[in-house]
Amino acid sequence: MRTEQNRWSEGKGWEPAAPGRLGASAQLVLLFGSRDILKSGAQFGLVRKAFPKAHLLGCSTAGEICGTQVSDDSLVTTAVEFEHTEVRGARVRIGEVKDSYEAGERLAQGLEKKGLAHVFVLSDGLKVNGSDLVRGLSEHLPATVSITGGLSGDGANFLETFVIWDGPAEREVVAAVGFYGDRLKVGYGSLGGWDSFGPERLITRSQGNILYELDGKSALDLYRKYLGEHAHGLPATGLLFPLSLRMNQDETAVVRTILSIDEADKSMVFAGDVPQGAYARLMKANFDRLIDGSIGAARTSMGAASSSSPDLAVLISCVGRKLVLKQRVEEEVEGVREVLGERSTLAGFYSYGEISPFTPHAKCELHNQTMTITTFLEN
Amino acid sequence: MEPLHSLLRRQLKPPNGDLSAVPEEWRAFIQAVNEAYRQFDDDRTMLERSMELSSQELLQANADLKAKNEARFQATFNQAAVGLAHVSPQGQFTLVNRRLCEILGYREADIIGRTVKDISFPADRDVADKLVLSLHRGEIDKFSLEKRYLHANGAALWVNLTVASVRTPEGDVDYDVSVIEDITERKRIEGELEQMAKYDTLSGLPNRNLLQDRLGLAQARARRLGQPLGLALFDLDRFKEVNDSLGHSAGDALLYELAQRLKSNMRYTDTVARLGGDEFTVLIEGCSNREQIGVAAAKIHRLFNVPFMANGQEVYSTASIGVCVYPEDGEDFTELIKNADIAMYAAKRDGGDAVRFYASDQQVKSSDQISMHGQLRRALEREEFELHYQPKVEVRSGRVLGVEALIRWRSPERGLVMPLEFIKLAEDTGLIVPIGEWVLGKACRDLREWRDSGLPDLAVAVNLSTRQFRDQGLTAMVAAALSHSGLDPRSLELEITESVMMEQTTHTTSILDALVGIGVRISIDDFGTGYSSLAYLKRFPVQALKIDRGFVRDIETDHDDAAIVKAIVQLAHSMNLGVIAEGVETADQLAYLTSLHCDEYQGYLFSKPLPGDEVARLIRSQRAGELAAE
Repeated sequence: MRTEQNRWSEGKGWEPAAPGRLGASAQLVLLFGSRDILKSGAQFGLVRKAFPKAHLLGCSTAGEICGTQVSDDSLVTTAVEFEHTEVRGARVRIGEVKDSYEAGERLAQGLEKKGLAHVFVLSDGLKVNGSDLVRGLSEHLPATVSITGGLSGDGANFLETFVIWDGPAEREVVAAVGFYGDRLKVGYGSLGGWDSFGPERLITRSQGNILYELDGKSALDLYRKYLGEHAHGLPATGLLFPLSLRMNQDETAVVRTILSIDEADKSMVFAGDVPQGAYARLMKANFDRLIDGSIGAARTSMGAASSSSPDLAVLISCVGRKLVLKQRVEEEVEGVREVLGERSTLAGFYSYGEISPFTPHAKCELHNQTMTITTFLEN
Repeated sequence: MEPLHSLLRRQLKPPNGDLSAVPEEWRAFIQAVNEAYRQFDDDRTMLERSMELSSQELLQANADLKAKNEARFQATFNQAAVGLAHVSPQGQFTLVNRRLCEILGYREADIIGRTVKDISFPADRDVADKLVLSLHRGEIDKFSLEKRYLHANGAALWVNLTVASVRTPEGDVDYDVSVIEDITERKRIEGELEQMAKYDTLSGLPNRNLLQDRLGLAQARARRLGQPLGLALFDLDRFKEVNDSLGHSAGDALLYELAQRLKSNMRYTDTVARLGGDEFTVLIEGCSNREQIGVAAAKIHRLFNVPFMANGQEVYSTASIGVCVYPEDGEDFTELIKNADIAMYAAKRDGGDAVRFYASDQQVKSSDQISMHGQLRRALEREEFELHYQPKVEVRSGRVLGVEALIRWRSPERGLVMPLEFIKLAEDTGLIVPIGEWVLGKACRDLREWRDSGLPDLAVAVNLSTRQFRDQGLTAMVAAALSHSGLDPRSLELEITESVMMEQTTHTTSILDALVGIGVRISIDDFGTGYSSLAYLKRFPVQALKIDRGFVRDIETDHDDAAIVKAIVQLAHSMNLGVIAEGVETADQLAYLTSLHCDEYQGYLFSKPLPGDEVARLIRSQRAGELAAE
């Protein structure tokens, strides 16, 4: 496997050079960029021309990862040439949020199943119920096929997100690429590192991924109370207090993060399901534990790659982590680098949701507030 | 550009926050440091705020939970169907529920602060002390007991109390939880059940169970005082007749009145009990010897001198009273009752209306019944029976006209046994049939022998029991005995009792007709003692009546007896029946009977029953005397 990674920004242009070294031999180019750059279509034509035979898959982000650097307002392209692996993809329109499951189902139908080893998926980050999407997708793919990916982002704006599949960036779209061949080893890991605190609250009113009430009281009011002066920064500041959810005592808690709020009906939209009857606790960040989480995710992702450094690692980390870590955000990427080693190409973005099984062989789920890593190694 | 963090500004003195004084190349760095300072402040503020908020929430949740638990506790506590209380280790009520207030009749405020002992029935005040001590020492987890509390109105009420301790984390008793159930009603019912278990419902007298308890106590007292103890057991003579003729309610009324008489006339130390039916006992205490016990028993006997009122009718009744004495006559309840019973039957056997003390030979007889049965069965095979004959004498001439055959059992184990001692058993066991057959055969043979040896025509009377009469083969058996012996049927007289006549009349008639058809004579034995229905005398082919010895005994002195005998003689004669008087022992009796024109008599006056050869000799000598006189 060969990779070529380039980054473009308004001020600095292309670094280290304009893309195109792999040229027509590139089979897949991952594009992660700010909403504005993707929306404007800037540099898209250049990239298209630079890798004429490659499939282009990408999305808008809340921060681009290029090696161990995290940047905003940039476009990072990572071109990949496989030796033994084929890639094919599909793209579907989501339509209504409530049709997310069906979108996942259609996406799965658009993928050739024969020889399919792994699916990497990128979705609109706002007009979607990520949980339903993942269910629809995984239930219509062979059980042997692993799925990872993420929801696109829009900085801390939560206004609009874009997905690219072989053409200009689009809203309300889900795209996926399938990897075919038996020489590709795909690993994955996903970890959060947030701490629950305060009382456990019963979700007394919700619908799908829309939350209205906790313990019979407005959930939005609760968030305002906790955020204090930061309440005006909602929904972004809501990421400081993700929700830990569990249906019952025995279940592993999942983490849910806010996508948007609606002042009119005092509702909050989360990236995944917030089922009525489930118990929720507020969570808070702890720097060291967030970084330990990223390292843990990297270790897990290495497991399936037979301890050899992967050729490529795609890091999808939650925007909530970036909002907390701020200047120290790169520490989590550096932590990943230390685990994976110097020879791995690191690409990725800060997202509105991560898609991965918690551990190998577990069911694929939508996560929030995690670092989710997918590693690729050809042998 | 953001203003500098106060700490950074202080640190940057002397430039004192004026970034323009900082070299150009340091400004971005200072900005980054500044931002980090602010972020840390922000994060810390946010963290502190969220901790504060969540503590408040948790406090509130805790308070809500406490309130909810308290409300739930109050609801459960006050709606419980049993009384509940928290009691301090010193015994004071600290919390009581609604039900307990209802049970005790107090308002809550009146109980709180009072001690358990305050509301306990005086005698039960300290009953739980030891248990409470054990509970507080941790020797037991809880205890239950029944005790009495005092209702606010002063009444005693029974409760079932269960107590467990609640301890502090240090292990000291914090308070006791008491569960109090009102069991007053249950106790009342238990009392009634106990009354029913110990007392007879009809008479209100102690029953057998209680008598047994009382006997145990009385025995202990008697032993301590070295005094004897009397047990009088009695039943009413012919009580069945009262029930049959006047109805059971009259019988019950009689028993009730008897119970009242016994209660009011016996000393209060004596236990009067009803064992069932018409059977009563009196446990006689405080006597220093048998004589005094006898006096008490005689007092019972005298209670029957006055008639009872039963359903508006005067009824005379008598009792057969058996008395036994502890310790001579028995050690325990069973033995004493059994021996008193034996004595009572002895009294009955002697005609009732009497007091009999237990004597050990009475017991020998009854305990011997079983072995007697075996011996009786073998007696036939071993030919241990023999017949004695008592002459029947013509009043007018003084001549022996016939004999009555009377069985004797010469037992190797028992000596000579009289029929009174074994006929009942023979009847009960069915042995009477083969024995009766033997008697009949033997009597016929003896008579035939005497005739063959030259004795004049004599009649022989043989008694038939009721049991034999039920036997289908009776007629055939009689016929066989006659034919085997070759005796003239007219020489055989069969004596039957009145009770035979009363039973199974159709059956009886046909048997009697058949017997008379053979040529046998029938007479009624013990006439006057039974039902004395004259109707059957007309219906059945009877030739003679035998007047019971009971009427003959006092015939000269008892006007009633004399009247009865006179009436029987007149009745018999009016129906062309012969009359024979039994048990004639004196010349005066005979003279009286003569005056009444009685036909025949038998009794010690002429001769007691004698063995066959002796009676034959007697008759022969009488005839010889007559011949000589002629």
